[in-house]
Amino acid sequence: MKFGKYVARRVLQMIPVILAIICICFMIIHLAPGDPATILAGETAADEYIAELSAQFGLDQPMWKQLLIYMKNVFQGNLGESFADKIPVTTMLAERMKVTLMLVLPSEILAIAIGTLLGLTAAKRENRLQDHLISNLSIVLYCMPTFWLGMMLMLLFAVNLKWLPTSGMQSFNTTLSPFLDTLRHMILPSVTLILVRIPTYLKLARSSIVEVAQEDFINTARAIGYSEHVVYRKHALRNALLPTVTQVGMSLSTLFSGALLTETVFSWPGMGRMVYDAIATRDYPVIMGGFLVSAVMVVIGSFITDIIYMYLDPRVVAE
Amino acid sequence: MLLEVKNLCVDFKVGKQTLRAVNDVSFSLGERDSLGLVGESGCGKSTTAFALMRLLAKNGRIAGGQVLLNGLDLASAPYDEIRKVRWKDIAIIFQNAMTALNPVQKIGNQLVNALQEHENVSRKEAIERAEYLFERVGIAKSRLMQYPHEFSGGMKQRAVIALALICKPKILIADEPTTALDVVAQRQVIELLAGLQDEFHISIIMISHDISAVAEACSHIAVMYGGEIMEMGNSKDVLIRNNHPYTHALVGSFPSLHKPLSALMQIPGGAPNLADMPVGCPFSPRCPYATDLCREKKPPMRQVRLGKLCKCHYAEELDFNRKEG
Amino acid sequence: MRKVKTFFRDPQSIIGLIILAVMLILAIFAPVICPGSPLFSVGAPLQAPGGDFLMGTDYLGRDVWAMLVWGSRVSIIFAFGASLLSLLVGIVLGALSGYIGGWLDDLMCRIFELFYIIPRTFLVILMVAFFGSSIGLMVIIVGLTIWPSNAKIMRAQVLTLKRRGYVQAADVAGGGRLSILFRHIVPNGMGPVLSNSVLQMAQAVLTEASLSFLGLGDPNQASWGLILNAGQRNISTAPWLVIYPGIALALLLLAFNLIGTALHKTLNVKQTVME
Repeated sequence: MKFGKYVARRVLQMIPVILAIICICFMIIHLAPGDPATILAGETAADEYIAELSAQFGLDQPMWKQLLIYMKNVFQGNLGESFADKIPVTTMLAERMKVTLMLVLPSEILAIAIGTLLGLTAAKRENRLQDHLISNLSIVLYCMPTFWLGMMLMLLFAVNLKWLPTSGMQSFNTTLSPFLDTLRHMILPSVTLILVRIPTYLKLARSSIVEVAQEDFINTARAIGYSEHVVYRKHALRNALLPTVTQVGMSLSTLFSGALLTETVFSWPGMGRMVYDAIATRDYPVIMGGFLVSAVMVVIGSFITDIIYMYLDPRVVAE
Repeated sequence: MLLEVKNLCVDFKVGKQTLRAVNDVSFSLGERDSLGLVGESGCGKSTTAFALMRLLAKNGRIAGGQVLLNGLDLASAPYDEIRKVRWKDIAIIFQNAMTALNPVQKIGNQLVNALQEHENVSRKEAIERAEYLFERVGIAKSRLMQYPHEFSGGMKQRAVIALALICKPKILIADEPTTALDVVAQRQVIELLAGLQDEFHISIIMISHDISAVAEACSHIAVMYGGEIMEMGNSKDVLIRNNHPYTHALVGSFPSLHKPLSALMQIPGGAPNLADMPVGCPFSPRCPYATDLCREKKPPMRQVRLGKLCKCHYAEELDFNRKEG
Repeated sequence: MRKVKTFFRDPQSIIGLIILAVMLILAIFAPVICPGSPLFSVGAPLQAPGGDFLMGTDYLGRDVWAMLVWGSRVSIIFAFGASLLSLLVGIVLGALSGYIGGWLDDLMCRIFELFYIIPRTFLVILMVAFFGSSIGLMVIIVGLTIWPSNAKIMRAQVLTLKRRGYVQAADVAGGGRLSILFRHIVPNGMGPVLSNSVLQMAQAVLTEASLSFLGLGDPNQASWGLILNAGQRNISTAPWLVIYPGIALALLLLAFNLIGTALHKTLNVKQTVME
């Protein structure tokens, strides 16, 4: 009951954010140098198409009306048409988004798990050798630009050692089943994404576990006679995970940027690669659509993390 | 004797310095005894209690002495042995009940898990025991499946007591169990503890800065200062016929119903600095009666009369003065 | 003074400062170290390092070492330009939001939230793609997308500081509200904002490199991202195009992160008290 109320309130909070994101897109189209119609249709578009778009987006109407029309179009799933491929952006996005999520979701989950476990190890040995080792390694990893790390991995494992394919999602001549082949192509981009995301979660888990370890209820757990393993895993970790969940919600936005760069390096045919290709041809509706959809995905993602947070911390609903 | 503490010393490493937080502390505790450890904050009373359970912070360690529980020396036993003793033989109620419970676990589960850690009982039996204890401390058993944030302050305090008793410990350490509570609630908790002591045959070590509250709840009192026990004996004896100027000052610094507020004394000076302890009696810098002897020679612990130990060169004189009026 | 000492004793900040000093020297003396434009072809394409060129040449026969040295300029300009802009905007808006409160504060908090949600690099890509990619414009775009964290920190600082005695004393003594804010409160709350700014320098450098790598950089500037962009296409034949600029980039990011973290630590010294 309380739960339902909380969820409903949270859903309502999402609406103004999504509207604001649409407004930003609208503003960019209108502030950019050049005629909005040309921006939406492409410089090489036929005059009839430009006229059609002008009518569709009400480009002769006053600004506020145009904004409303733009919003209506977005909500109806009309994000325009790619100049290059001449297909609706929505169709492209739906297909590409699946491919991106297939890469990003498992990677992120693994990064959270590995990062948190390493953070736990470091926290348990606070200020000892293992802690310093892990923390310094994490700083170095944190400073690696995603795309460079990806290229270095590619150089080592694909170009020099030839263990793994350099790019793409599928090979033409392979004896492997399509599933295994895709998995093989996924390894390098996933490892890149995992490695760049580990430091964030490691640092967070370490500092929050160190903090939680000083709380009174940890003393209680020790006094009860639980082993250190149980004290950390059952009592400290669950409390320390709360900031991690918040962090997941907040860093979802960086996740898409990371995916864009990784997909570009490995030619992974997801949304990021689509945007990269669109940049090269200045295919504005596609870039815009990619931005809009990933922003909305972040909003939904942070909603989901809030729900998870609520499960982990019974105090949230009460407040 | 159930518990015998002999010459216990605890050191803390702070930066490059090693500070002695507990120095040569000895006392014993019989079955169904209750002992109050009293002193200002920083005197080492909590540290002594934590050392009994080997719950010292990472930078602390037992530097010497013995803690004998049924013949097992807790000061030197391997950690796994200690874990078995904790809660089963010695349980503790921490100072701050508000934060002593895990905020993301149902309170009932915290009780049940603690019992199952030490005894091979079914979950059903464990729940029954938890329910009994909850009713015994005055909380409806339906509340077992709630989270700590759903409890009021007084209820949390009582839940913490129930948690401490779940394994039927022989010794219960209560660290400032009444500090955070108002006077009425203090009284209730003291009475609750006394009732539970009778019912479960437990011995209690109560830590407090409030000597009069401890005197009511405990049969014996040990007064600590600068990591050492300065005076120890029967509660009444320590409260009324105190032999140490520090005890005298401590008794005088607490308001009581029986004397006017104007009689309140203040102890001059601040708590002792462990990094810079005097050569002689640790209390000498603040003692109104201190002589050169006090400043130069550390007084030994000695028996002033039957059942009364005191660490003061002039222990008899305070007694004498009192007789003189 | 004690804080300054601890900062300079921290091995992390020393390593960071050394790397930063080397990069600054490269950036300032680029015309002396490598005279002439780094964007002109000076030799055969794709020559391996060693030979005539320390770090080899790219597919157009340009000297990678020269591009690397000149590229440090772009990175440094980005680091300081964007973070300075973000610092200014962040301080002013954050301070006003915390000090005035009310609807302004509500609005600002919504904006902070919005900026957390929007994929920032993506937004920058979008704007650069639409508005053009001259280096000045890019600095402004990056600066204007990273300010909210500074503003958030400054807002929190103002909220705690405005209750302090000396601020209230200044309030009683008279003097305009804005002058109290910017003379008494803001200077005292700068610490955490500054350490955050150093971390933002890393962010700005990384954003520029990412943009150039994606082909959105200023085509008239030799930047590390530009070399990496070329390197990606020749990765199997000319790995040096990827290795050297990447190391330079990672080192500069490391420097800013180390200095920022060390500053953060020194400015928030927490005393540990026993019992």
